[in-house]
Amino acid sequence: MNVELDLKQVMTVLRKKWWLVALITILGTLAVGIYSTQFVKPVYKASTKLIVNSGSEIGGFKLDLNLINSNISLISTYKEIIRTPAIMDIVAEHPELGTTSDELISKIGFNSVNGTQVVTLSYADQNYKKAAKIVNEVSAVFQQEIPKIMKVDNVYLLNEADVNKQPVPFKPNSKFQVAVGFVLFLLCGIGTVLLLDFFDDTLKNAADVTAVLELPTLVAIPTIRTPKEQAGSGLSKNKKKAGETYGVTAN
Amino acid sequence: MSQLTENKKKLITDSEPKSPIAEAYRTLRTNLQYSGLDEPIRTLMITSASPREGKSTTINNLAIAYAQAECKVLLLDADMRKPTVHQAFGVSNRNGLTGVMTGHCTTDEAIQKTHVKGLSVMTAGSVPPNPAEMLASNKMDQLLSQLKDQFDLILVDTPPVLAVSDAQIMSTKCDGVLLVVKAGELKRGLALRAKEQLSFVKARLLGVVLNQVKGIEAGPYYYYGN
Repeated sequence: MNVELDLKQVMTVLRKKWWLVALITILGTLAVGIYSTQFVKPVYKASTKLIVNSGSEIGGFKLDLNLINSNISLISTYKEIIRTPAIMDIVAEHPELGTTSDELISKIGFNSVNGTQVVTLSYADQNYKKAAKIVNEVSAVFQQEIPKIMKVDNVYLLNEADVNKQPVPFKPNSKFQVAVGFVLFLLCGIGTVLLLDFFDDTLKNAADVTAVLELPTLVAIPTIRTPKEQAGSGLSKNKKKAGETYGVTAN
Repeated sequence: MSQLTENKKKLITDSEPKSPIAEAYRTLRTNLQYSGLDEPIRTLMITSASPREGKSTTINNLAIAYAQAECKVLLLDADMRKPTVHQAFGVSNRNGLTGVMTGHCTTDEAIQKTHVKGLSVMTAGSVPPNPAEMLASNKMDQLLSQLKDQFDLILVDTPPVLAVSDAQIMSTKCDGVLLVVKAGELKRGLALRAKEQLSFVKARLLGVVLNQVKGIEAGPYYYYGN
């Protein structure tokens, strides 16, 4: 068997089994679509912004690059501090949030914005109101506790999450998922068809007969179909090629 | 579907001589005539590797195609295990090859004319207990040479090569062998084994008839003319 992939051959195989590719693609995409719209509950994300900025004790308007850099470095430290029970236990003490400190630690997001002193705290939940309340509470506790832990008072809240906002689901992103699903299942379908053809060990055409049996194919007889069936197949399409005797080798 | 229409569909060379499929059988006839230029083929055997690949359909239609070319043809059903020729042409299977071999009837009694001009058939007759021995006997040789005097061409239908040894035996007595291969069905390994079996007894394999080729593979000539 010739393992080398001949593009023309691949196209022929795909053309012959295009329905299988289409079937796999459509079913797969449909499944992804149904799954992401019906079964995955939407998740909402609420966020607050904090700024880490010490230097107020120096007083006056003086921007010190070293100070800014040390603030930025502090963000990494804060990132770890916020994920400790030292902060989260206090947040979890609020019964109305209905959450534990472990859950908070795993679900809280803490991202500094590209080398700035601004930090985004985020929390994702199926209930937007809950997420917003939690993230606000975390920010408040964090701001409150940091001076006690670090002995510096340099965390300020820039904005709170708006509890009454009309939320847009942060995930699932159905359109994106369907698009990715479509591409994946299309490739999957093409792969399946090519693989099936690769493992198809039967003699299919005159070329196979020549290659395997080393015998001439005297004639290729089409499948016998009733005249009604024949009328349905592309008569005009092939007329221009009439006269060729494909698969017939005069020996 | 009734047996009659089913048979008619299979004898397409007779029922629809202008159809592309009938044309394919005529192409086969032409190619066979050219492949036997040096050594004219007087006895041609058709077999396949496995059952249901279209041996009988091929041989019936090829026989009609030869008859249409004003050739005096005898279609001999040597597939005594599963005879079909009598069904295809709607003739009696009372006297046939078995009858001739066992001496129950004469050769002339066993040869029956069909509705196709120039085409006679000798059916298989009743199923004997020892088909392989019967085909291998000297009497079979005598019968074939006698038939060669009466007909221009004898087409012999046989069982599949890989199933029983009948086809191997007959192939040594025939001028040429055609292997029918059902496209997209027959595995390469089986095809090779069938070829080896025939080559082993030094059969003259003329070529392959690729049967039931679908759509694209069949090629554009399928649609030539109306």
